Amino acid sequence: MEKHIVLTESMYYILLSVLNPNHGYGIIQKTLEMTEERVEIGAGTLYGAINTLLDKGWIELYSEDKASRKKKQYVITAEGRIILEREISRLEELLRNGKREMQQQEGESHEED
Amino acid sequence: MRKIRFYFDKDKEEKWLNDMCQRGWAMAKFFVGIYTFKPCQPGEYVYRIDMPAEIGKGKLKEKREQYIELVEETGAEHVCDWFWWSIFRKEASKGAFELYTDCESQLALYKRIRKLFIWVGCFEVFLTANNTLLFIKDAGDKVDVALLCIMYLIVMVFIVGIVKTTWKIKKIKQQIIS
Repeated sequence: MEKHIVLTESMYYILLSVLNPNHGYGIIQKTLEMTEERVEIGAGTLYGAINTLLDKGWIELYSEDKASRKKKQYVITAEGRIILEREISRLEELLRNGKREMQQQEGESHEED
Repeated sequence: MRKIRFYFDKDKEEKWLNDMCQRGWAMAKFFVGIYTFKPCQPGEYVYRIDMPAEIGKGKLKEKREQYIELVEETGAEHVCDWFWWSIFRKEASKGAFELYTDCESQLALYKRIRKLFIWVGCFEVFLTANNTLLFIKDAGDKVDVALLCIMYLIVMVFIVGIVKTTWKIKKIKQQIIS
């Protein structure tokens, strides 16, 4: 497994949306909900991402009930969860460093005044 | 109303369909360059041309069915298919309609399109070379000169298509980096 994987915003929100089993349109809606309508994943983007995530083994098919025409559902795998956890700690580091450096710089410029 | 057009650039084709719709003509059918339009409210729909599946990868029919179902769930409508291509539309009143919402997936789309152009283009080159040889051998007895010219023209069109798509790929890559 690669050590430093940087997820795209779409990939990140898709993984978050399948912590519980979810279907394609459900993922789009969950992402809209989480981002307060900022990120609307297009169907083409989602379809490609789902196939990539399935290939990588980060998500898997949860159910496919053809008889009742139920939608395909996807759920995160153990490996996908590890990827997501690592990405969250990477993002936390970004945020921590960003805030600290900005505050420090602001403090310095106040002292100069 | 019917119109005949030959597009080798899906973005230009998409723009034309949306312009037609602004003028009150909604595209409903496509068959070898013949577009069938039906009257609509000006600007009633937003059209999108897509190439969801990659040439030579997986079962086109099965993948397409799954994909169409997903697109339709987002409130859009499937208009028609043409080989690897699919055309969708969404009522403008239902909100924005974009199929590819990040640079990475747009990049993947244009790479799929280029791959298709390269494969079909190579096939076209093979046919043209074959006919040229026949032409030289039989000195124009069996092979029509006009047909041969058209074939060379098609080869040229594919080359232009590949170059233009490569240019688009380059532009998207620059967006990702910056």
